[in-house]
Amino acid sequence: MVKKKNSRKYKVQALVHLTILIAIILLLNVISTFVYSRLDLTEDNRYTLGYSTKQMMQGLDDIVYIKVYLEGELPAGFRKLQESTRELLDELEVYSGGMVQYEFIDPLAGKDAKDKRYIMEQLQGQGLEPVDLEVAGDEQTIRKVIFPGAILTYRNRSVPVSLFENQMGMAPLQVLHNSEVGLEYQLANALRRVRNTWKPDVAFIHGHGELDTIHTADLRQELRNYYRVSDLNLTQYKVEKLQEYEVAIVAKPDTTFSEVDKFKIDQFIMNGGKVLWLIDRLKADLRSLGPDGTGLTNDYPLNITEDLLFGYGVRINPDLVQSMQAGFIPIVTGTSGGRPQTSLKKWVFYPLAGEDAPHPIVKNSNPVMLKFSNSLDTVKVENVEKTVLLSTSPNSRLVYNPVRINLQMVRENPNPALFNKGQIPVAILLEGNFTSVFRNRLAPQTLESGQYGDVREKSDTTAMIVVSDGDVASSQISPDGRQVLPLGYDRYTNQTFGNKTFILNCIDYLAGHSGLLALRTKEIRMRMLDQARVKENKVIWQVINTVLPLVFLILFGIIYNYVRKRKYS
Amino acid sequence: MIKKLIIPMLVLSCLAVLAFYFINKEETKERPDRQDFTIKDTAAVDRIFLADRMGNRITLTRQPDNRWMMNDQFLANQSYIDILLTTIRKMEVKNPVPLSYREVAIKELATTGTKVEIYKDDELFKTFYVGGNTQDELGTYMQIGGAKDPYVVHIPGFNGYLNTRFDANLRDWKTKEIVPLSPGNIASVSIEYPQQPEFSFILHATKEGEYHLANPSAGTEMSQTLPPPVARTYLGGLKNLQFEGYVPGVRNERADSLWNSVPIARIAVTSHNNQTRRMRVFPSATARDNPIYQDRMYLMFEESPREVTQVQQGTFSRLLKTYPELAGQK
Repeated sequence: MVKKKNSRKYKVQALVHLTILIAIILLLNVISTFVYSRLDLTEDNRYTLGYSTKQMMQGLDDIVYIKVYLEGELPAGFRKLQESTRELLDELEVYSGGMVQYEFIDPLAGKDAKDKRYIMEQLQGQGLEPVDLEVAGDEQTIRKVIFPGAILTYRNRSVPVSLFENQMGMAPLQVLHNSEVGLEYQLANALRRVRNTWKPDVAFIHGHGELDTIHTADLRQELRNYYRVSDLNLTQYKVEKLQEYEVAIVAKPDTTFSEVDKFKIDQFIMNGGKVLWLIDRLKADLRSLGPDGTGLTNDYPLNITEDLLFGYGVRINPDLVQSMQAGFIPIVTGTSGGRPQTSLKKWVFYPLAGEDAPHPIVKNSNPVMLKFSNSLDTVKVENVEKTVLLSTSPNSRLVYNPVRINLQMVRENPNPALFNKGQIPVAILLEGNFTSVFRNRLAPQTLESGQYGDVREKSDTTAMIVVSDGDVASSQISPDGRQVLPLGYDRYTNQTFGNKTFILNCIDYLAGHSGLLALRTKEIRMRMLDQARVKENKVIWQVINTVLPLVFLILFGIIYNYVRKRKYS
Repeated sequence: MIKKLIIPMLVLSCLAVLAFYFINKEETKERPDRQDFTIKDTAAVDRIFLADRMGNRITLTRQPDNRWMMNDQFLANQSYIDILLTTIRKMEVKNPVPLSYREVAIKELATTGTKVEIYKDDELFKTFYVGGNTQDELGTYMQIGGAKDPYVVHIPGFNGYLNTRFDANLRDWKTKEIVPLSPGNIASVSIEYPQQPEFSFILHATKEGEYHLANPSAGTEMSQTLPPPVARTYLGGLKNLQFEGYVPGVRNERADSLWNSVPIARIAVTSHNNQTRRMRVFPSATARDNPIYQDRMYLMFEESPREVTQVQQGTFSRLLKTYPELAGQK
């Protein structure tokens, strides 16, 4: 009787315990849908937001709404990009306290042909680039246009965000991987752009034959999203005027600078101003070649290289860089039906620079195309740190002034043995405390004249970037002369080089957006499978993945039964 | 046993409190249906109600023949209906209203917004409010009935705003068709010219396709059977005949005195089911002052509210024929 009563008691107790356990599990599940937490155990902290992003998220005072156009049927690579974007947005949502809201949509789903056309036009007008894809369906492969990007809206302003960074000459898998790595930078940069109410002042310096507004039109257009862009004729203003600006751009001057103008720039730097120097030391241009297609280089009558730049820590050499990795030019190779036939030929004077340097300015960027660039050397200057940003490919060489340029060269295959100079620096970042070039140089009478004002001899910590090519910031113009092509776009090869990104990154860095730019340096290694070993050991791994769990299950069953039998027999 | 249950029960209680807290907190968040403005299946929409804060109220009702009636009184302008249905089918949320503007947007929706009710199968399916446009005029503020937050709504691919499509102004929704009947459904057209009675006529059409033309003032002297092609050409010309617009600034009393003055013509169009639309044509007063309106005439319908509309002579001449013209005497 007692035994029976005990058995009933245990049954009730077990039932109550089971009910409580189920209730606890259910409640834990309910709570877990509201509480978001993530533990990043990856070696490269790939799931941890950068400091500047977290700060930006915590400083949000209004809703940031992100419409991501990555939805619908997508190939595996893009689905992964979609998933990474979703994870990142979840993270941003949490850090922003719900200020970041997002939605994934397929903009063309369920739309008729006319609407599709309008939507595509609108998205392209907003700045999103379409990508043509082949998606494997159940029965056939279909072509599909997607817009791998997003529109980010903050208050009444919207900006496009490209989530897919197409990089030239890179395997699709690597491009997608790099796009995933760059997601945080892209979104944070777009957020900065859309929230930017205060814009630092950037000045294009004029008065010494610098690039005109037409050739820099595309760059200016892009800069205006982040900066207030002005033109400043240095000769017309006093020393103090330049100091109103954050960054000065000296783009391809071709005449002499007066001493006063040099002094203005020098004092601008001494007062913490930043300068982007885009300097051609030699006059070399395809348009200036004679009728026989030949020409000789000349020195530009520049006087800033020897004293200013040399004093700050960089020497621009009177030579030209040739590289095996170079751009192309069209050359008439014959006639057909009375019409000249042209073909594209590699032109060693147009080196492609930027070999995966680790600095945030150039990290993960497309190569930059230079035209008749000079080599750069660094000069020992105290308290100034130098970083090479761009250098040519390892198969490069130098030719010295006066250089004979001959179009016939394109017909000959360059001899690799001659291109043995290794990587040649063509863009250098200088950071630190600079010493004024005018230190102990001005006579007391001159100083007293009031023309120069007070001379500051040592700068605060500041920075400048020297690029040994002025055309790096110059856009090509369409043949009819009416349209300015995007900076970096080469109309002969239809390729877009990284010139625009490079210049924008330089100015961002100089203007103090280095925190954001640092996101670009985030290094996430691809954990690729060794395809050869995969093929070799395919069967073994298939067996391990399918049979081993079953073996474990059977073993567990046997042991469990054995223990039960021993205990209760 | 109770002792053994204390800890599990405590854990359970704590979890229950936490879950209750989160569930309640979540309720304050926006529900997805509170931002779903799109109505995909507009073919099932059979009634739309629009009401603005100026007191305008319009009920648009789908008829069995797929035409729409306004306030069960007038035929609605079909092109406006098509635009409205397309709009509610295509419009989507563009973005939430910024927090900095939310209060203003909600106040504006409450004071000047238009209430829109969509009915399916005679049951209320969705209510939303339509407010003003965004500063860039590429979006319109809207809020679902009962929702906490307003949204900026747009049609993807369309660069413009949407609030004019939800206008509750009666005039806009009235059809501009002068003879809203198919030619085959017209039983008679009577046109009386008070100042030239010899031009007046009545055209009778039987359902069998026979036509009879008569001048009422001349009795049997001017009466004849009209060849069907002539009659059909005339009646066919009345299809899609539209007035140009309403004459602005004409008040009710002036409209009434105009109605009672001697018109150029009195017109009556009767359908086979005995519904008659009466109208009168007057010379245009604006034509005297403005040469642009010299080829215009006033047209008034005998219906309430009596309003003065404007027609172009060139277009209206399709209706304003004379007995001699139809009888082939001229």
